[in-house]
Amino acid sequence: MKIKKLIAWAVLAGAPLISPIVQAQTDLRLYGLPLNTATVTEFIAAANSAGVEGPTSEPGEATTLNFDASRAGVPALARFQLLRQGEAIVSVQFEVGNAVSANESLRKMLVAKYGMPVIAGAFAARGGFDDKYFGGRAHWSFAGGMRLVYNRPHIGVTHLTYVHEPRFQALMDAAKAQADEAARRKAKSLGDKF
Amino acid sequence: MQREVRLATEITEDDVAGELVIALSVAGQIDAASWPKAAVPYAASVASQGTSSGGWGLAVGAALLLGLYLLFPGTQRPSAQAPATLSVVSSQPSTTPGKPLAAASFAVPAKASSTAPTPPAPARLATSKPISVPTPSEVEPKLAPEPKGLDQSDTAASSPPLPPLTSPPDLPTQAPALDVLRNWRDRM
Repeated sequence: MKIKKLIAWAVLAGAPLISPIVQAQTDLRLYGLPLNTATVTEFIAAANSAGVEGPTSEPGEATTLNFDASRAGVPALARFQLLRQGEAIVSVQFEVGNAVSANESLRKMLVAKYGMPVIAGAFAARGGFDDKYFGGRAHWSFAGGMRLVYNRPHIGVTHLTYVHEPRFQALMDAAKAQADEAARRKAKSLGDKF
Repeated sequence: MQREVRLATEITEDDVAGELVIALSVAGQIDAASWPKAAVPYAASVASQGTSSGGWGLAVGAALLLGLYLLFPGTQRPSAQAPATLSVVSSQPSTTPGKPLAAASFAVPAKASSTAPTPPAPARLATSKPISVPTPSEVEPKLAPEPKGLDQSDTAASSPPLPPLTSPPDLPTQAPALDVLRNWRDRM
């Protein structure tokens, strides 16, 4: 009898730890597409069929594309930007409305779909993730290096970000290297003037 | 002994004098039967002492404030708004006796304007040796002269056509700027 009780307690206590592991083996999908394998063209078509307007400018060679998802029907989600590297999706970042009820219902929907997130900096966060006035940063991890991040800062706009971490980090490294190279060239050309 | 309790706002000079009489009579210095005659000089002396002490306090306070004002007049800009200075000092010892080390200090603008390019701040030189400092015309790129008239055909005929606007050659076409990525990361 005691052993059964112990097992039950172990399962209850371990459930929050197991939940992120399960998520880490599933794909993060948006508009029905797995974001780690979908192309930008496929994403635009899927988003438009889901009621999203955009992109507002010709895709061309632009690295960021703007969309309007206010008619898609998801509470608190309005505009979003897509960051890409060629045809690969690097990140999708939504602006989340700060209206309390809409924000809360979005968080409840996220919990219903993905489970409870990992709250980063638990001491800095205000309340649990599904509390009405939650504030702070929370994330879910998925397969293929994908991550879903909800960030509600003390001051400023709330954002919900779908990001492919390795691609984003590679892009950051490349941009840093280019900035360093540009600074080196500029310093060389103006070397005697400062 | 029956004592009357009054609020501070209701106390009169007679009450104060009465208290004095009681205190002095207890101490055996005066006869309580001589009240109020005996209390008046005491009350007057206490009042005059208070007045003179207050006056001295005010005078000392005013002098202190004046001294502080003279020490710190407040007309100088705080250091945060003052232009930063970039100093260059030669580490080589001077070969000429009596000649100071070569040194130059440049006034650096504290905050660069984001809308219009500011010309470089004039250099303040503190050296005996002249140092050439680039003028704004040398630093900024040469701009084509503006057409004087409205007739574009004249200017087109007289001046060579401007080159088409293109992105700077050192900027990549497929990589976003570092600032864009940093802002993106800060929002998530």
